[in-house]
Amino acid sequence: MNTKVNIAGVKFKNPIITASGTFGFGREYANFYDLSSLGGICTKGVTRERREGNPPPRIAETTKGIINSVGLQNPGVDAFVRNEMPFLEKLGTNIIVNIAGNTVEDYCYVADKVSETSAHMIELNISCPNVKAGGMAFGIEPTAVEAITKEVKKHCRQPLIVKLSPNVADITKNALAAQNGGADALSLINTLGGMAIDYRTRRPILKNVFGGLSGACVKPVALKMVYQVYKTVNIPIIGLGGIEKAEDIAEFMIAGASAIQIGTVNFYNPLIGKTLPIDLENLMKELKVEDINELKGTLITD
Amino acid sequence: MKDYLTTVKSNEEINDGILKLTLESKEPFDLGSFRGGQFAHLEVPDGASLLRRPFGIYEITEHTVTFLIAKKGAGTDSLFKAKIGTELKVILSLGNGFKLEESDKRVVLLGAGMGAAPLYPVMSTYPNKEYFTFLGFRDKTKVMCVEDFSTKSKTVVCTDDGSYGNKGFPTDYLKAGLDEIKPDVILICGPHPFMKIAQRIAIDNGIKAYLSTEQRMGCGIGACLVCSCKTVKNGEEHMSRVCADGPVFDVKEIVL
Repeated sequence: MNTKVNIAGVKFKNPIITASGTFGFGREYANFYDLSSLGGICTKGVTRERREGNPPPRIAETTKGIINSVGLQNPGVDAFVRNEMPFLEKLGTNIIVNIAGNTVEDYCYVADKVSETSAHMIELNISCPNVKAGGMAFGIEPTAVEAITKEVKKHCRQPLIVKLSPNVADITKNALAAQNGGADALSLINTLGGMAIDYRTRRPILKNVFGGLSGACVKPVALKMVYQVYKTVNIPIIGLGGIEKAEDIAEFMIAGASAIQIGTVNFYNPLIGKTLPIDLENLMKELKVEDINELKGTLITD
Repeated sequence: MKDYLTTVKSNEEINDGILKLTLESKEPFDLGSFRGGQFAHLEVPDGASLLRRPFGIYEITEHTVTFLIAKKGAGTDSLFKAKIGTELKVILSLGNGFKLEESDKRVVLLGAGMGAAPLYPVMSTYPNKEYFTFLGFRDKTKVMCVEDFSTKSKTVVCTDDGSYGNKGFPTDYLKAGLDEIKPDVILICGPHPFMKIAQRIAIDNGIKAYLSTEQRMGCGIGACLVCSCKTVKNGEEHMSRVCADGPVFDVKEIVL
């Protein structure tokens, strides 16, 4: 049985990657299981300077989902490279570094620094809904997506993944723009804009008022967008949004994803990265699928 | 820290809106590193709530763990309704508990409302200290744990309206008793305004003190960075993680 997948020339032992912002830099979950069970780890977004993020509360729960407004809290790229990469590169899994910034120059600076590390891939975060300046500003207009992809790509020694926002007019246009800009792969979807209100106090639950919605409730939206983008581009897609079990992985791959990311599920099931690869193999047996890649883009619509 | 599969052993509403929940685990809990003030992250048995809920550990033995839980919303509501035998996953023990030094001989426990709960196990973690407890509750319907504390410490209980024990706030009674008690350290847990007053008392009187904070949490283990609080170290402000850097902080380092 084969669970290996290939994303832009990078081999993954299985299609399961932890999503940026839900797994820190791996240290916390390494207390629970051997992270080499994962296909890969995508790090918390890393910026040029240290960032403290938004004021709390930063999380609200909704039906089958959560809304967060962390706002890219991270130690900055220099501290990341110095303190976190040595730990990450010993985990026996692929490392994808998620990078963010306020300006194109910031992104390029971070890309330069990460390129010098042993990271396997770089994920361009132009879709964080929780920071006022930057991030999202590059992720909405297709022309901006293409421009920043083109610039950052010049600074990447590793293949570049562009992470797309669902909060746009037409995600296929942004996907095409990223492809035209030189993206080697796409990941989608980032969180959907959302908010939560406490009717008793008439106040927003998040101090930031707005946040990003994730978890099982966003899966249908993510599946649709992965399918639409798969029909539009010819670079690999990493699908994410509400995945919590092996059946979800199969659905995303049928829609066109080459690999997937697990995010919110880590919060309520810290061992998901250990059990999901086993569950996936069991599902493949049940489906009589010898090679996981056989599932990709096999949606029947007639 | 580890994710344990437990079952509900007992589930009793001990007071108006306060649940005493005991869970049982076949697999023995790792008690070696447990310290009073640590918490657990509990699964909610309704299927609709994705996130777990963090609660301070009230009592823990090799196979049982007990929490005192106030009814707050949908998540805690379904814990109130959990039937005996219900399976719940629980991650414990999480966060940094209260740390006492050898030289901390006279210890004040200062709690208000549900804040009494995480203070109680401190007396088991550090049995050879002299404890002085000050507990405050809104009114007699909310009073809890008094017998437990009284057997292990000199305990003063008060209510805002005087319907049980002394009338007033525990911070006032502590202030009045400081000269006599001469505490080496004060351990604090309770609602935000109460902790601000308690923090002030400790700092103004030059007494070492720690307080246990609360925030809405995601993962509970330090990865997601949602349960932040502001701390100051070496004159520089940082956002710290309540779950992993806390929930217990030095009163001189936390910005309330």
